[in-house]
Amino acid sequence: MKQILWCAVAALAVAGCGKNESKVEDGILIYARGADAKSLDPQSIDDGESVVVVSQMFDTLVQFEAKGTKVEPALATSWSASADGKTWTFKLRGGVKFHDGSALDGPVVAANFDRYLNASSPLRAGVSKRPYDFLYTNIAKVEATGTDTVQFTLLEANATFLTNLAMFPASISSTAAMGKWKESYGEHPVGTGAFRFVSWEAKQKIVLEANAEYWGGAPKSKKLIIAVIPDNPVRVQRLRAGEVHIVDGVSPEDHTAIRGDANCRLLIEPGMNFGYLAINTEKPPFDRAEVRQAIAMALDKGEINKLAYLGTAQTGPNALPPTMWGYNDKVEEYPYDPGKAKAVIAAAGIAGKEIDLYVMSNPRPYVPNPKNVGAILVQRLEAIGLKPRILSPEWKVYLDDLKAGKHDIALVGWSTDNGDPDNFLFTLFHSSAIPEQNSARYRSKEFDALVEQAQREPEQSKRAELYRKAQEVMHRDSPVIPIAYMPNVAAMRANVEGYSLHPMGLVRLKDTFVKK
Amino acid sequence: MRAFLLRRLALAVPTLLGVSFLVFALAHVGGDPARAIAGEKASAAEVESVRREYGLDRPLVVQYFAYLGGLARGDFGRSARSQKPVAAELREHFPATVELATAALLLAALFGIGAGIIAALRPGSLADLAVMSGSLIGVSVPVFFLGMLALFAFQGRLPGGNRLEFATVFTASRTGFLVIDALLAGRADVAREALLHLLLPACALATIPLSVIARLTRASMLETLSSDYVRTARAKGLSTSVVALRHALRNALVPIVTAVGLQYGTLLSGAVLTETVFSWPGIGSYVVDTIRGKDFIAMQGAILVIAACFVFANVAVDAAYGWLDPRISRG
Repeated sequence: MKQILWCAVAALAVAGCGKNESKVEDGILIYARGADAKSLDPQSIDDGESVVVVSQMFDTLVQFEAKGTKVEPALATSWSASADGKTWTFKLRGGVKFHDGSALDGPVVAANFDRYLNASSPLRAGVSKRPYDFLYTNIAKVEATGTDTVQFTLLEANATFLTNLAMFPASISSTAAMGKWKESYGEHPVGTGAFRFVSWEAKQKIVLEANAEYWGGAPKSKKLIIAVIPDNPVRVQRLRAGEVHIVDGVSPEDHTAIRGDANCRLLIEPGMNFGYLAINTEKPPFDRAEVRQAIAMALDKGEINKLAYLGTAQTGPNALPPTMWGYNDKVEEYPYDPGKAKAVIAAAGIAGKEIDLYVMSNPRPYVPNPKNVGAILVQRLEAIGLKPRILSPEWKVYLDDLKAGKHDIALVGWSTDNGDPDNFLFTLFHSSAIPEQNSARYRSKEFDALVEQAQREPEQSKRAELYRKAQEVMHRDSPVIPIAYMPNVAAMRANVEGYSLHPMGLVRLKDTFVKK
Repeated sequence: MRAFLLRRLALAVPTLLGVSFLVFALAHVGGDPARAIAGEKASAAEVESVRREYGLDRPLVVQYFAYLGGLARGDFGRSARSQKPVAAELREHFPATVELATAALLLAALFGIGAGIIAALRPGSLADLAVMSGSLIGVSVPVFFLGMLALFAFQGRLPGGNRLEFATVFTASRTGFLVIDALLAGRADVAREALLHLLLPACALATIPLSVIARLTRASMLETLSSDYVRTARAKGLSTSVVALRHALRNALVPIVTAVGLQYGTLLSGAVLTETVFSWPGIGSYVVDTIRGKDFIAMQGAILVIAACFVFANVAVDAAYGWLDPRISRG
């Protein structure tokens, strides 16, 4: 107690010389999140914290529109595909300059992709890992066909090619800067984006300044500070104290406090992720669809949402978030019916069977509170006559166990990479994704054929129809039970303008500013 | 004395080797490090290429000795997350921890010894009761809770962590110790801001060592004050303060110095919770990051540095011991 007392004395001593209410100068915008970036080289990163910073400094050939997942022109003003869908030609925007003054042209774009795809590229130093390489393995060749045109040759026609070009790993860097900084390019990033890099103080802040010559118009804030405050409640508290302007990673527990603070605003928008139970379809008795459906009938998703998500999530029957085009709203949930589920389990002769239920110990974006979900699952599965045993190994081991197929049922989830349904349905449930992402080990020729066809089909409306059919097939087979779709959440000072949440979780601060 | 110290330092080598082996082994238990580095979504081919690049395809024994060889050259390897040399990252984070630990220890020693002496001089008094119960609370209340409490209490009046305000630009970094750097650069405003930012985390971090030191000082002083030579000094008619400070304190200091030294070792070795609550970019929060990021190369380096701090704090304590009580180094 004594120490708190003299804390108070010390505080009083400095209070006299304290600063005035407005803590931050005009023109500065401070965005706070939970962890530091790992690297600012767009090709080597996969963590959201790095992506937030990179997205302010870099452009891609095409970009996602402000509110949705359709792509629009960015560094490329137009593009065309050959009849077989294997050759794509992009026309580059004229007069675009990198932050170091060098010009954007065809050879620079080609060299960027060469660095990513070709291990012997002279610019390769620094790219010691490419966590998103799987999105670009279909690209055979990238060539500059003129100073302002670039041509991509694909191994196979694939409708997701364009959306993948809007993703951060396809950001275009200055070749001069990459050549100059080599291994340490990730600490000296140079793009064409709305903000240019100024400084990086590890675990404290990254400072960016406005690029007044930005092709899309000058940003509304002069300086952007991306700060690190690891602890969730502390981050919210410092927002409320006016020390920062926008915070992400707001826990459901803090929602009420923010709503009650007139100086702050809580933003909640549907996201593009889902948490689900993957049922190991290779392990009897779960190789039978009626047993898997019985599991679905044993769960009250509303209860899970209320108790484990504090009512912040959305629920639904599909392995695709409702924000995604191609979502099938005709599919209906299996009704919550523990009596019927229990009868199915008894009829299958597996009453009292011990099952291994994997529940992660660490919160994930789509399951912020896995322990609570686990507790409810155990209760509900016991109620229908099964004996679940919860296993929560460390995350690395967890994923390895799932790959090895050790689970009967596992709680997992996925957040979108490129805003395309293919990135859910093909990536997670096509038979070729066994044992990697397909934790349900779902094998269906019918389903495979539908998602393969959707990949080749260039027209979006036709693709959507194929995906709707695929969701019906999946619902019938029930290899997974979707638990919840989590919204994207952020909080900001009430006087912040020009900020909104993108369904993919993209953060763009070009038009965001603090109104005085 | 010198032989004694050398012997103690020589003993530190096998200790640190043992730690390095343990940490290395732990980092390789469970899960595939190459997958951890490459990322959860990376293709199998990419994971294999990472495995080759980081030498993870070699036998574990070979990897361990290669790691030791690197350590001997001061090379801690490259962080799997940032690609930066781990040694550079540790250099970047260490001053923040030293700054925080030193501030906390100064507070703890100053107030702890003071409170202990006051309590010992009037055992059973109200002051004694206050010190004893206060220190009991101090050791019992979790630091992160106290930290949150302090943040809440001083919200808007004292900076709630980080080393400077976000909007402050200060790049004249020579030593890495912000207060010293700011003074060297003649920026009294920055130094003052840095000190203010230190205040809450240092107070929170100081509570446990302060309580330990206060209780130990009290016990040690009580014991010394009841010894014969103190009675003699009193009989000579010396004042209470002279007896307490000049005669009793030096002898009572032996266990206190041990406690202070060991506490410093503990503080240096990562105030993980305090650093996390107050966004303090030190070794403690670095370790948390490496573990969260499955960056086992950086984790090994950080834990080794922590172990080394602890070992050297021990050696320093032994040395101080010898100075305070010459009988010990002769023994």
